[in-house]
Amino acid sequence: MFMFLKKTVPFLITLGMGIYTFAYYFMPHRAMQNIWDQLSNWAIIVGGGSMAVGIVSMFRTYYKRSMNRADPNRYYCMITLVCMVGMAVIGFVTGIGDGTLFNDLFLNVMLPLESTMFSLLAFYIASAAFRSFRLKTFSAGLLLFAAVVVMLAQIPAGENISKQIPVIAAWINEYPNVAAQRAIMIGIAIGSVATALKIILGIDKSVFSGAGKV
Amino acid sequence: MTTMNKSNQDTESKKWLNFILNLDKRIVYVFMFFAVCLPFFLNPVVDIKSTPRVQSAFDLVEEAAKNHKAIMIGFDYDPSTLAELQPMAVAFLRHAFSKNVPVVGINFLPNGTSLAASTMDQIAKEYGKKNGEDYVFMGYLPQPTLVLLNLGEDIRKSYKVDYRGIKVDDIPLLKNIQNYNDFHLVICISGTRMPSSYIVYGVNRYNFNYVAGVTAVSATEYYPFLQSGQMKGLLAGMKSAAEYESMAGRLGDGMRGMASQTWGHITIIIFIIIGNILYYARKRMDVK
Repeated sequence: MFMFLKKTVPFLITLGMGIYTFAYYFMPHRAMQNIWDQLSNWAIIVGGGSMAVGIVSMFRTYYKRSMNRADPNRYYCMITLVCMVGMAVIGFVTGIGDGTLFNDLFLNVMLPLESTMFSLLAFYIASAAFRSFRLKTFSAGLLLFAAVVVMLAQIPAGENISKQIPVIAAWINEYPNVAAQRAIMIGIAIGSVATALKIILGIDKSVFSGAGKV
Repeated sequence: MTTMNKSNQDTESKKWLNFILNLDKRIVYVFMFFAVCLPFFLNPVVDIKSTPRVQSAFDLVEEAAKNHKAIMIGFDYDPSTLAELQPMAVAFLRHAFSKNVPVVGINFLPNGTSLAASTMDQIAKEYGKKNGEDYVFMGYLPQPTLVLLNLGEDIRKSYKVDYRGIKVDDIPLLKNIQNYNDFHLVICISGTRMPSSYIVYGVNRYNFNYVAGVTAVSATEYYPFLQSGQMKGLLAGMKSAAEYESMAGRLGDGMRGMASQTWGHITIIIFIIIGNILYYARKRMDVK
């Protein structure tokens, strides 16, 4: 009975939903539409619920780590927990609309912090470019040439250096890049279809009862 | 004696080369810092030639104004990609509001919800536009694939209320809007893979005018859609935002950031060139 509930029932639900969703995409019939409307509402509720699961999971993990004296990052874990709980409480008390403390904290603390983290990339790229971008082989040369041309095309000065720079950059983006991207996309799509079919048809049952258990 | 002197000179040169090649990364960071920061005090770059993919995005907003139809903007970016994507969002909003084009905003990234709401309100205020009549922000919803499919049938299937909690049926702007057919243009501004979802679950099935605004680093992924016609326009990075601002004739953060981006890129290119020259000089010395 336990295995039936843990494996067979999830498999049957997945099979049913998989076949229905596939059929719905090609059959715009009223009955199909009504079921879809109902299911899409459920899916949005489940999506919201999964966020709650994520919050609980995150809280448990960071609580354990902050209580572990041997963990060198325990103080960071504590800060994470305090910020998470603090923001949630402030959000519940003041609301999240314009002019609330929650919104002000988001716009004046979270926003500059996250932007700063991402902007650090520029410094790492400059350092990496100086140390490792070497013209060692023909393919490295192609990469170097493409990188320099595309970088110059992304700034107005590129056109001032040579009228040909934007033209070459556009050609790189529109031909070799498109060819490579299409190949990657088709490969991913075929892989996704194969994985989806394996799950829907129950060939891969590891997703139903923990990773690795068949 | 002369051979010995030459050998000493070589050792000295090699020492210098090694020193520069293994330069403390903090020195590189300082160069980069000044290259990015100092240009903010220079005059912004205003003369920017537009590319066809940005021009077509601009033309679609102009067409929306002529046809008196609304546009939909997906604000799917968060603070991490704000510097590149916010200028695009602001440029689109300013252009639309200046031409009296109604705007419906949606969002699938919880970190970007407040950001999108405050951006829409701020730009609407500049043009004296009213919430609910000239623009509306629908707020965040999870499960973008389902919402994008539902938007092809009826916006009310996914959205019952807007960001402020006002019922959809009580919003004057949405009275005549049901699905994608009622929008002249749908725009997705994102640094994630969201623009692809709009194509797979929206454009492929419901066939509407679609434009994406993405970070420069992720732009290469979207060229196949541009070539196939599934995407009518593509804004890639801050330069595209600056091009758009230039076409709209209004100075914005895109143009202001161009000088910094220019010097940042030039610094990286100079570092690449210096790094390679030194690398080959040392290699030559090693062979000798």
